[in-house]
Amino acid sequence: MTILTDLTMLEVKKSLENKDFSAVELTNAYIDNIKKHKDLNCFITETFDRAIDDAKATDDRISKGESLKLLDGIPIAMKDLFCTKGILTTASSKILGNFIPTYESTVSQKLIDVGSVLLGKVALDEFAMGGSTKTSYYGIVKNPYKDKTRPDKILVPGGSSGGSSSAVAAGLALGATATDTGGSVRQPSAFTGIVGIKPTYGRVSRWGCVAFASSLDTCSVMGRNVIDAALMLQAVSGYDEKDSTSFKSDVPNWFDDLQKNSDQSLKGIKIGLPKEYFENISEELMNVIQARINDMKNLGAEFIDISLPSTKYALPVYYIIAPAEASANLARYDGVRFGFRSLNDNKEFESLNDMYIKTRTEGFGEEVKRRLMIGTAVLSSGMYDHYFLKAAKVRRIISNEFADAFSKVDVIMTPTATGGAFAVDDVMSPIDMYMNDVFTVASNLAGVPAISIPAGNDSKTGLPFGMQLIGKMFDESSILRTANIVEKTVAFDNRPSKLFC
Amino acid sequence: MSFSKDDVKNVAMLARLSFDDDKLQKMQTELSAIIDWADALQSVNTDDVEPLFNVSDKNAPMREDKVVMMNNRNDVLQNAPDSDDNDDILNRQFFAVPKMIE
Amino acid sequence: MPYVIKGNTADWEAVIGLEVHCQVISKSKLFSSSSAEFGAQPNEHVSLVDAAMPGMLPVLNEFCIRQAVKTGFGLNAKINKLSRFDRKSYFYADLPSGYQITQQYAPIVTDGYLDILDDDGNTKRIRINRLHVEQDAGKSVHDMDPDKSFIDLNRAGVALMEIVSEPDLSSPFEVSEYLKKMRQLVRYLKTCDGNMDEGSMRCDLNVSVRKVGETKFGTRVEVKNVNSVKYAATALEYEIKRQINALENGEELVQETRLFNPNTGETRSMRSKENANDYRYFPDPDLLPVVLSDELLQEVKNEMPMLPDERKAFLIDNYSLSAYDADVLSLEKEVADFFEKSVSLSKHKNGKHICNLMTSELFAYLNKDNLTIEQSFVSEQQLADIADNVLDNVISGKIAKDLFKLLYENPDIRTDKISDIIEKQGLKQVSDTGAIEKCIDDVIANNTDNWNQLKSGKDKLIGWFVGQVMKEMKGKGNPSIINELIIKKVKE
Repeated sequence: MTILTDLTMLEVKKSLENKDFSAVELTNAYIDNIKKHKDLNCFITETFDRAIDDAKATDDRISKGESLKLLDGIPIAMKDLFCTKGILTTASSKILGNFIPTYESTVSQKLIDVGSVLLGKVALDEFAMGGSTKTSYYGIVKNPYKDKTRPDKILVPGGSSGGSSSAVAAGLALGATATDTGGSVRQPSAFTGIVGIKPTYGRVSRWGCVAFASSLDTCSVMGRNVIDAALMLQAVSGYDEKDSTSFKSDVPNWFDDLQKNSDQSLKGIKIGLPKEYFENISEELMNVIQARINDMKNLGAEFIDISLPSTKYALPVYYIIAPAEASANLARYDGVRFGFRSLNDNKEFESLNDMYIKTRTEGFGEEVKRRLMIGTAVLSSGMYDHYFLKAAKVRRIISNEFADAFSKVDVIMTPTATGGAFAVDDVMSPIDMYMNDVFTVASNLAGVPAISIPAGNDSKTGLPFGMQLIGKMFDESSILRTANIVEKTVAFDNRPSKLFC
Repeated sequence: MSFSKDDVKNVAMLARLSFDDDKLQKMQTELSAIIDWADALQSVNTDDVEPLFNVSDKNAPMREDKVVMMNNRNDVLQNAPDSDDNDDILNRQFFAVPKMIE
Repeated sequence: MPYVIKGNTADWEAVIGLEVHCQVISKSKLFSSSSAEFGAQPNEHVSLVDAAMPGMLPVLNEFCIRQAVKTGFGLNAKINKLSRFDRKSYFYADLPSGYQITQQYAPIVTDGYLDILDDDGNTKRIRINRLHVEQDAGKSVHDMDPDKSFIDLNRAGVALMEIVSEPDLSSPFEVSEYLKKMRQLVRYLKTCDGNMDEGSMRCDLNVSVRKVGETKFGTRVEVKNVNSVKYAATALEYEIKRQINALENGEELVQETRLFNPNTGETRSMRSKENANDYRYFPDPDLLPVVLSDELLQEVKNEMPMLPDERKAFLIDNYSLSAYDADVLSLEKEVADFFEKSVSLSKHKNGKHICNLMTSELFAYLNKDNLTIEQSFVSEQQLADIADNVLDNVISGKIAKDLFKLLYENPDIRTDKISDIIEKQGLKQVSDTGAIEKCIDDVIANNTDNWNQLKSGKDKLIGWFVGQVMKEMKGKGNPSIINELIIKKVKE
């Protein structure tokens, strides 16, 4: 018997058109899965009634013989960072615990416009700050995968888009939205064996997406394979006059391109291997990556050793710029116009400042506060030139190194993360935790697109490893095409049902 | 560089956050460690390097001076913490905050 | 004499710089498309962007940028083709996002100047350091509830131009002149309405004092909340005295912000730990650099009107006006426009005459009702016609005056042609000697004593008789003919 929640988007699209099953049936299958796997704690808000209504609308269109829209009937999960009209939007924070937007973000509106079915809002690290989804105010999110060497351990789904990654991997959604400020779509995708793409900065509008670090935040998508991710990306991309940093140009038809491109050759493609990204990675990960390199060579790709010498500065640069921007972006959470306001034990506040301090101290979690402190510190009097401005200059150097590299190669390949998913209770210092983003932050600093796809499994733990393909500015086409071809060489089982046998 | 307790308190005040003594101590250590770690950047030669604030090489798009109201007052007041506490007419017109002293 | 304050121990001088905030005239706000208009119900002109709702983003209003460029041209300044917006962070209930978007590091306009008159009536050049564009804040209302303050964000996000002078000013008089000149400029340019009492133009003063001859600057104090030209002078006088007294008593001044209290005329310290400001400026990552094209700059340049000083000189040169009259007419652009249009519509093109009618008659009525020239009850054409009719001897100067009164009191005839009004009301001057002689004879008959005195050599009485005859003829007699005929009669 076909397990509906194992089907890919392409299979679902075809089946819906053939009336093999209805959109409502498909949606119900997903709802059942969500109910069954509540322990994963992916969803903050479930919108099942809305989902059924959305699915019915698709079925209506099918019965009327209308041509189906891009994601018609596709059940998706929305990262709870995207404002959704009339639906609680928390950013996984207590401070937005009661916030019901009166507006629809551009991304979520575009997904409505293409007929998708909204299953609910999924958890993330609070305000997308983290790499584990452990900082969510609404409890940890579990990775559906288990580490064979320590099966009793609960693993993190990565972060910050851990609710999204876990839901897609576990079959609680067919696709999901995510955001990526320093790796928040790619690292959780790698940790859960799915595909996540961070497009070029400016490709997808940020309007209505709760801001973390505006010059780095990139609205992104996840799917179980490259074509699914491409479909999602197709739906959300495009210029938006409401976002001043949005890029004004036509969006290539990636979906068509991948479908038409039945040629499985990588001939003529030059792939750069930056040596800085292969230092200090485990033998297991190196073996998996090497296997993929061999596959790609066999398909005709040319590999070139390159160097991105300032890579080691990417993390410090990121951990200055992102908190600095966040410290201003999160100043609006002050208990005045929306969101949580401290109850102050039902006493009168001494002053406006008293209200601000109590509201923000009670409303934000530890990691958010830590980053607000870093960000405030690096911008404060006497620190700006030394830290913020310096970081912005090194950011230019990092960005230039990418541009130089792309004069020699079409795509850069690296591991996505230094390893597989870690356990919820693994002890890490803040800096250890920040090191998680070591392979992903640089592309945010440079604004270039990057995709993570499953590269294989760790021979010891059985956990998936991710590989990252980084492209030129606005050249998502090359990384999608390459990823689509490599994907077919990897013996990776992306069916959710296999996780729960 | 290391942060003194007073430095941390000052930063916390600017961010409108407060920490009890234990947490302040912890924050002091962490903040110092992170800033020390970030000091690695000081070894990079950035003479004649233009800072990069946003990767877009475009200019700010500018809109026409036209009034377009996409929302009404209810939309902006709807989520206000005090607004549904009572039916006070003022709360339906304003955001309310604890008395500010001029 | 430069402005010097005699202290007990020395002679002192003041060093003053101004930050003037001008609300930009535009339809919508700087970064959102909600209305920038005054007078709406609380929070009616507030978009999701203005309320800093999560995920909202700013989009720049081009017109506000053009207004800033125009003002920059007016200040003879450098227009920077690349400028940037920065965030200035501080928490306040009327600042929804917790930061103000302003231009700290790369302002749009730098290095300009404004010429003013100093205490001795000489021209003094005040250098302008910069003009930058920024957002206004909302308004807090404190007097409606004992425990609460209320926030109205209608004004939040309206565009402001902050114009920062160098510390080139040295007296309350100069500061008043500077403010008046600045107000006149922005009104000429229509970039700000310049109404200080409504708060659309506000100013902060930076004041320090030093002994005459000293070259180092003293400790600077910022005085806020100075909302009229008069208050600026009052606040300065107080603050200068306070600083000198303190220094002469051996006290040390602290660099601080002080608030002016218009009721007492005093300034008081605003110092508090919570207000110890560290604004943490950094480039706003939601906005890209503002780059001005040559076309835009040229377009704005083409829209530039003649500026006040230029206009004054132009009026003197082209209409043979006195410096005083030209000054009065060029005070407001609209007045000068009205004047020039009226002259151009007239037959005789006698600027001096039209100027006199405006300053002596028209302004008197307008001032009485506090009306602007745009609200004038006499049109440019009517003014031109009145002037022409006087110069053509159709009506007397007295009747001209009456016509202003007539038009002022009778709104229904304001659209009528002046010639029709003269005709209908029978206001034409009488030059018929027979009629005038008859009237003179009547006056003589009724005033024989005076007449005899005149005949016996009391020439001063000629004027009196002309007046009486004019009165008798209800102002319509031609005064020069009356004069002539009386003299003739005396000699008879």
